[in-house]
Amino acid sequence: MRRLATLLLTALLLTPLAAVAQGLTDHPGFVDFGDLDGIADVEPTVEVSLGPALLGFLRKTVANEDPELSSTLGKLRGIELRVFELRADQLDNARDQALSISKRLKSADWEPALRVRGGDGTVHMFMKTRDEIVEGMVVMIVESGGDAVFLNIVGEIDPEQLGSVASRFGVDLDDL
Amino acid sequence: MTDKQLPTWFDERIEAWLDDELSGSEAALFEARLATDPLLEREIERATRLGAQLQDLPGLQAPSSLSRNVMEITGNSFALPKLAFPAWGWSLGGACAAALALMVTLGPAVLPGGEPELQPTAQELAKARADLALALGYVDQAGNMAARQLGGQAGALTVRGLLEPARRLNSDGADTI
Repeated sequence: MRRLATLLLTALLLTPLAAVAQGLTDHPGFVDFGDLDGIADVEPTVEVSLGPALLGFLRKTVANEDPELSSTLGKLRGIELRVFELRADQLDNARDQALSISKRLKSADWEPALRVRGGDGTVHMFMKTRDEIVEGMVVMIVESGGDAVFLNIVGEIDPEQLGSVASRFGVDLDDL
Repeated sequence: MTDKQLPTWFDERIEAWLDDELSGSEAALFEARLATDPLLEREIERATRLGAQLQDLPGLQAPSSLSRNVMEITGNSFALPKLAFPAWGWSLGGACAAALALMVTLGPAVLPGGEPELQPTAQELAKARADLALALGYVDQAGNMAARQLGGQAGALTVRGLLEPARRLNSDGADTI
């Protein structure tokens, strides 16, 4: 009797919490950036976590002014962003982290879409696809200038539509 | 099942007896049995240990991802309190009821597919919009950095064209995976 009650108590306590976590973390397009916390002992200067509910509200608010953005947001489940401002001597650590995540993604059947190394820095981009539908995207940027960016967009993504929307947001990153 | 079973009446009253909630006649009956029944004594010891373990459990700090998700799903309208096992003592029934109430209260808001009832404030929406713009800005930046690698196309490319330079980089034998 008490054993049953204990089990029931445990189940009741854990069920809603696990369900909350499953809201996003069980999505095939989700990537846990938890290991990044404290990269090179530096806390992220930007930490964004947009979940399905907030994205849903955003979608509604822009439905009239920007139907394309609204449509894009309607298919997204979450956005996770971590940005680190690093010194030059800490960039190797960020590059190592990006490579480590890249290996993890490859082993999880993420498709490497692009890796660029140049004077600006490095860019890694991965996509998770199923039946030719993009279910998640990871963009990792390690700028030579010192910023390291880790971005995970979760949900059904139309790259063309996403790109069109991104270009219209008019964010001048140099001013940030 | 060969184990000797404790009569239901006594089994159901162990926690009440530990909490000193039995009536005088029930307590007398219970204690008379306890004086002669080692099984009842063992069950009481087990319940005592369980209660002590529950009380000794450290406060549980919800993982940041969890509190983040809860706040998002509920529109950031309240902060998730630090989770801790309260001193429920032996009242497992009460604990179950409390957990059930918590699930019923939060369930519709936090379970996948549930309809969030709390609306984010205008300020929270504005911040979310800024966050979204920032994230998409970095997507755009990734496209621009890829384009620059192709030579002088910076500023014009977004992720809309990110796959295109990727294809070109691939065909050019450049540094792509």
